[in-house]
Amino acid sequence: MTDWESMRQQWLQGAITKGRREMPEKACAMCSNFRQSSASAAGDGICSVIKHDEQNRVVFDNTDASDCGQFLEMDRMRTDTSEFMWDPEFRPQRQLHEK
Amino acid sequence: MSAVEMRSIEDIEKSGQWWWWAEHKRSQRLDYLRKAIWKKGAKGSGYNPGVKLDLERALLFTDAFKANEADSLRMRYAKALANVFDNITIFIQDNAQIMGYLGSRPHTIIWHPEILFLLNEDLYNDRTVIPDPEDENLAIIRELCDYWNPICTGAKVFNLVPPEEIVKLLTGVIGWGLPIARIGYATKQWDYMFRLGLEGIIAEIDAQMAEAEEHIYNKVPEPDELRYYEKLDVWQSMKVILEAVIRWARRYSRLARIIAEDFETDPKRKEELLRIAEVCEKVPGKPPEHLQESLQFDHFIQIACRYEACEGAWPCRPDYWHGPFYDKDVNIEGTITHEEAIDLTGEFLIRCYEVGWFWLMLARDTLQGITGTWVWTLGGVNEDGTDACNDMTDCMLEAARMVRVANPTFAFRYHPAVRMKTMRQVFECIRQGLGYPSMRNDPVLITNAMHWHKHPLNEARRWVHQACMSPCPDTKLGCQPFRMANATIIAAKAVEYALFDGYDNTLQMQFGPHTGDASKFASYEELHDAWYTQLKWMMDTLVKLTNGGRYMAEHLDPRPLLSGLYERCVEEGVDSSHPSERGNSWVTFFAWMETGDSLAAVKKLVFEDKKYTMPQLVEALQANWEGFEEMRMDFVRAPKWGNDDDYVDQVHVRCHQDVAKHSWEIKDPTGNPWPPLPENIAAYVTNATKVWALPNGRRLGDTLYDGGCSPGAGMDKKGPTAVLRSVAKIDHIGDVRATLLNQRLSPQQLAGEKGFNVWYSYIKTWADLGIDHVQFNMVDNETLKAAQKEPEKYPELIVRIAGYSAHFVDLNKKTQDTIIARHVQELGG
Repeated sequence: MTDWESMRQQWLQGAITKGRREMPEKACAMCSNFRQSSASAAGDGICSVIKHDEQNRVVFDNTDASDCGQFLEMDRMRTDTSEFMWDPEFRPQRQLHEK
Repeated sequence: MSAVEMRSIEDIEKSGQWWWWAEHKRSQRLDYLRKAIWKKGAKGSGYNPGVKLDLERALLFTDAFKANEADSLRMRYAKALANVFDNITIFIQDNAQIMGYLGSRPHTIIWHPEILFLLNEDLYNDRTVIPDPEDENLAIIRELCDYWNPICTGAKVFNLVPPEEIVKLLTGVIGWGLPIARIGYATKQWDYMFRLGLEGIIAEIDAQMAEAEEHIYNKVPEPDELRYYEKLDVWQSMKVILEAVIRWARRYSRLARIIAEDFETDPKRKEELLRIAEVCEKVPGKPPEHLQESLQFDHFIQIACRYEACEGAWPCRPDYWHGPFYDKDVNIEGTITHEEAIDLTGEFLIRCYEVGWFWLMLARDTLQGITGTWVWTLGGVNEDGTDACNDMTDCMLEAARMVRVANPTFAFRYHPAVRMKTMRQVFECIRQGLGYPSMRNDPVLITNAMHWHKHPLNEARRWVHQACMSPCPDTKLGCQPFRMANATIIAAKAVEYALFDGYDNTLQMQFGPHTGDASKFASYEELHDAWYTQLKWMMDTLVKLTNGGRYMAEHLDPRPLLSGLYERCVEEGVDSSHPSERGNSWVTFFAWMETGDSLAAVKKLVFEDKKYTMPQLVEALQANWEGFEEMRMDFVRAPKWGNDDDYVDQVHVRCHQDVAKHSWEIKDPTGNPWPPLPENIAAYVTNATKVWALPNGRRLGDTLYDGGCSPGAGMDKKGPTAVLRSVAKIDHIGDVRATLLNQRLSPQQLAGEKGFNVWYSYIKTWADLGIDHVQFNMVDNETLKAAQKEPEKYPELIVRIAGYSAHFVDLNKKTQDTIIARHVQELGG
């Protein structure tokens, strides 16, 4: 399996869950290195730091990041650059409650 | 009585608070219907409180799909949809005269589980729209997800293309949208439907099937006649679903009659309900003969098609097709008054505004406040070139000011012979702050349609907006059945990739082709060539996906209902996605105008003035300009588009010409080219986090330019004429399919008769310069800031985003700020 094929599989299979996703205390959604897909829908995206060989790791907004050494918490203030992705109306949908 | 209600109309007009003016002016019926709307457009990216998922459509569709396993996929889809039309709960709203609703209750949004597993999972995990009892409904949704996820269209399409390309698409940094036929824009052929009605079309299908049976049932078929087996299946599936649509409409007829005869006590309303019963019994089975019938016919078809698919645009030309019925009823026979026509038309707009479904996150983000780019086309010319404006044009414009919905919006086809009374109506809509109609230059766009897609003149004159911008004839061979939005590139990424050898800085991975280490570029031409290579790669990647999706759609994702509404499909016995129309493809270019400004800044500051070197520039960009503020300001101050400065404008023009050249090198499934169409919807905000720092001085996260040929916010410093002169340097026929120009004008300056004359002079200049589009915001900053502070007081304040309008209060703060930041142009009086 090529790296790209593996990435596709992670992406497509990872999106499907049997149980309803829960948002962990420390999730990729809260990390500055998470890049959410804007072509898709289901909280899917990739990590811009962690790689397998050359390819980035596919992660989801609710991926548990509690053991991740690269976790870099996003600035949750409303700034000109980061507010959009986690708009206040959107946060409750993802259980991203305000601190 | 509130303070607002006590104010006189004159005071309200003087203050420019037109949303309150509308509330005073509209009829009681329209006021009720307007206030009874459940908004389905997302606010920010979430649905409004109270909006809930409707499971009826998904369950009825799935039940019938499962029950007909022996049938072909298209027949299973037809029977599944027919089961929805036969059984979904219907209702009639108080005061309503136009029937047909997407969903079984007014506050609901439907779900198409057969399209995309990612959408299904998004829904399952949504915390706001799951209806009560939540646990019970979640279990139902999970069961539907498990059934559809492995067999939905998305699962099939994603396996069609190389994994590298689908992964790159899914990251969302090079493009937008998905190559799925059920998420597309379908231009419809109204002359066919209005001429025959669905019963007439069914009669044509019967005749075709009888002839086919002669070929294959009554003798041993020749090899080339075997294709009739498949055609028969196509025709049968069309017939199944067209008959179901007629039955669905007649369910409304029965319901209206039952309410009228058994429950309604108000004699006037009883009469209305009986009229509704007559109308719904007749259309869309038979051709319409009166205005209420034609509007009802139109609405039934549009809703029915959205039960079949997520049609994200609403191509139509309502004044052209409904105008004759208005004329007959109001002007000739006098069966209804102008005011009654306004009521019907206003409700027609409201019914459209209420349409919504559970929609992809990407669409909720980039189409904030609305559910689709529903741009209705008005004005223009007839097939013989005469002015097509009529009293229905004026009626639509007047009704829009009364109901002030953000969707649909209008685009007006301007030509030199437009009658003056209609121009005044157009101006009133703009002056009253609707943000629409946008102005389209009809002679330019007719020629453009002939240039790119070889439509004959009379058919090119029948063009409608296929989505926000692209002109598409609504004729038998001109209608494009769907345009998949994923042929959309984030063009500024090509500049980023050219400067970093194809490396994506936001994702931290190699994305584009290797075009060399930019710090070693010794000439501007090397940079330009690298940019062109990257841009061509982006266009090719997305076009490949779209061509594959389009070609396979008739097998993977057939649309029997839409197919049955096209004359060519009925004649040929093919699915709507079979590429036998003349073609109308285009590649949308988001974030395009940063390209020329960026390249021009490098050309000047690095290769001509030699103030900086390429290694310095690459280092500064790599650092997102952090620590290089003085240098960044030099790049911000470099010549910018929109000031009639030939130095930078010619860089832009060359880029346009290069792209146009490549457009002819790549073909769509009909054999036609893929011309560029620069515009942005709200993606100029959402893509801010996708595009790395650029040499125009932009940092990661700064919003992008808002239009397709608009200058950057605050970069146009020499007034509106200079903007027009810059924009006119682009060849609006040969270099683009269309392009989008945003302008802000001062409401104070355009008050009264003088204001109209000033604006009209501007429009004539704009048209003479051969520019294809312009749209206006005419709301002052004081009002916008007040609405930010107290949104509950400004529910109907509308602004133009880029290709669509939205209620200002439905936008997120950042998008609101970009509207406020746009430069207000002062027109010469």
